[in-house]
Amino acid sequence: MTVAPLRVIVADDAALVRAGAARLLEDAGFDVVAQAADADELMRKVRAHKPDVAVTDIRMPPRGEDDGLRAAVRIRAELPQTGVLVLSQYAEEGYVEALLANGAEGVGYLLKDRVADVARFTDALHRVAEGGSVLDSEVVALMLGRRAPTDPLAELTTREREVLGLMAEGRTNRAIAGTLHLSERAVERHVTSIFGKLALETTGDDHRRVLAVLRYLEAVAQ
Amino acid sequence: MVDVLDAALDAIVAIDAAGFVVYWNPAAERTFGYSAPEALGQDMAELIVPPRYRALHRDGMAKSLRGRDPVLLDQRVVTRAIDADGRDFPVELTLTRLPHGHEPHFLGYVRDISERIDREQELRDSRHRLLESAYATRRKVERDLHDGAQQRLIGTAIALQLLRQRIDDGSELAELVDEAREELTAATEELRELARGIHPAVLTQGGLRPALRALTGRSPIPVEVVGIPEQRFPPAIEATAYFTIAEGLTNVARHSGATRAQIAVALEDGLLSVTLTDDGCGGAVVGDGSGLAGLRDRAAALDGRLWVQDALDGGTMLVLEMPGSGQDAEGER
Repeated sequence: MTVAPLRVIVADDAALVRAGAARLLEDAGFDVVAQAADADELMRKVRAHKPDVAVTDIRMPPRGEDDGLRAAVRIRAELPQTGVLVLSQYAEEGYVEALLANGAEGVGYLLKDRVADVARFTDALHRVAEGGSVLDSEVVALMLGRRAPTDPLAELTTREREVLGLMAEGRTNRAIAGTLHLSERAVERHVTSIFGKLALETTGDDHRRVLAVLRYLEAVAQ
Repeated sequence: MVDVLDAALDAIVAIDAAGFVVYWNPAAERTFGYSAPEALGQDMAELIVPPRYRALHRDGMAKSLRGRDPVLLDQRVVTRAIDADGRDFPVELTLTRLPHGHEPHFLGYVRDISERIDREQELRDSRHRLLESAYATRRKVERDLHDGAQQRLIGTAIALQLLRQRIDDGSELAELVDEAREELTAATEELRELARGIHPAVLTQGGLRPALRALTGRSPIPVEVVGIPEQRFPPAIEATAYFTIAEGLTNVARHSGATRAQIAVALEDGLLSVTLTDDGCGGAVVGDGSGLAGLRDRAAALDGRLWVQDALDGGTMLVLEMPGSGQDAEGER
């Protein structure tokens, strides 16, 4: 039995990026069912194709502001079976908050240049398609940056912060080990230490792990 | 003596104790549009004092008859006058009193300064426009980078990735491509930071609140944010507030030895105040040629002020005050 490839729509007003991303995804075994150059076209095509995931840039026509982000929020509300992965040139907490306002399930936020990092990009797509969450490590770093001095996050070592950021992207211990050039065992030790310091319940489930980290960061951000 | 007054460039008007005109020089004729014969013997207040100031004027006259000096005496003040055509214009007035028993009672020197005031206003307006256009240029540069170079770099990174997927691991070519990708990643990050420094997109799109919060996330020391209004302000006001805090935070991190800082934003009686307080060593000044000096000029262009002072419990306070004609947030009202 073969698993059907994930059906994806790619939206970006920059033709080079849009076509390149679509090509990368097809090479990686995804089914790119449509492409869109603006938020309105994205909405139309998502309604028509009902893909597993819609990948969209934030700043797009018609208004040239956060149109892609608004479309993503609308897609999640209208089509619960379609996950959204939002790509942004800049890591901004404001975008993340807007995106997660109605729940973190099936929602992802990545810096746009991660697209060229195929493992990271496709990991994120699979996770979002399964109803999981993905948060770029850069955003996590921002949230960590705004900690209070008494915050337990302040007790994390630099390495543990890096690991936490990658955990929030939904990456597995093996993937984190690869990115940071560590052994998987070393990553496991860091994860245990992080969960201990933050008093989070440990879990083997990657998706629940991301949610736990997200919830924690949101609580800190208040 | 009267010849001297006649030749003066300023309008000179003398009145007696009851307020009637007893002297009216040629410059007064030109300034107010009444000839000397028309003006002499008339109630000065009825001729040239705008109706809304007349009660004040008569009150001052009455007090002076009881031996008390008018408040305005012997100093240069800016007030308003009217002429024969009813034109209401700004004037600089110097009022002197002659010794008791002398007539005339008061001598007023009046200069029409409407041209100067107009020029000052033009200067203020043009300075404001220059600032607006500087910010507009920065917004455009950021947008061009976003839509242009940044997209191209990402497109190139994707192309390199596609290329890399077609090369076997471990070959010399694969190594070269990997090196190129690393360089490209670094370039993308540098360009992103550059664009953010030129004009953060989040400020354009979301205003002060998300933009300042994003700044605090990047600060190496913990920063607390207090009460940022949700509403939007004109772009030049938002940008000046943002760049002031950004520069202030950079200084705090570099020079103050502070362990924490606080940003407070408040809008009271139409005045927007933005304050950055740290717990560092204090003693900071707005040095000429420093980043803050440039921001002080921007504040002035918005009829605002920027200064630093020592905070109450040590540390430094950076304060920016501007008239903040706020706009309602999107969707409200």
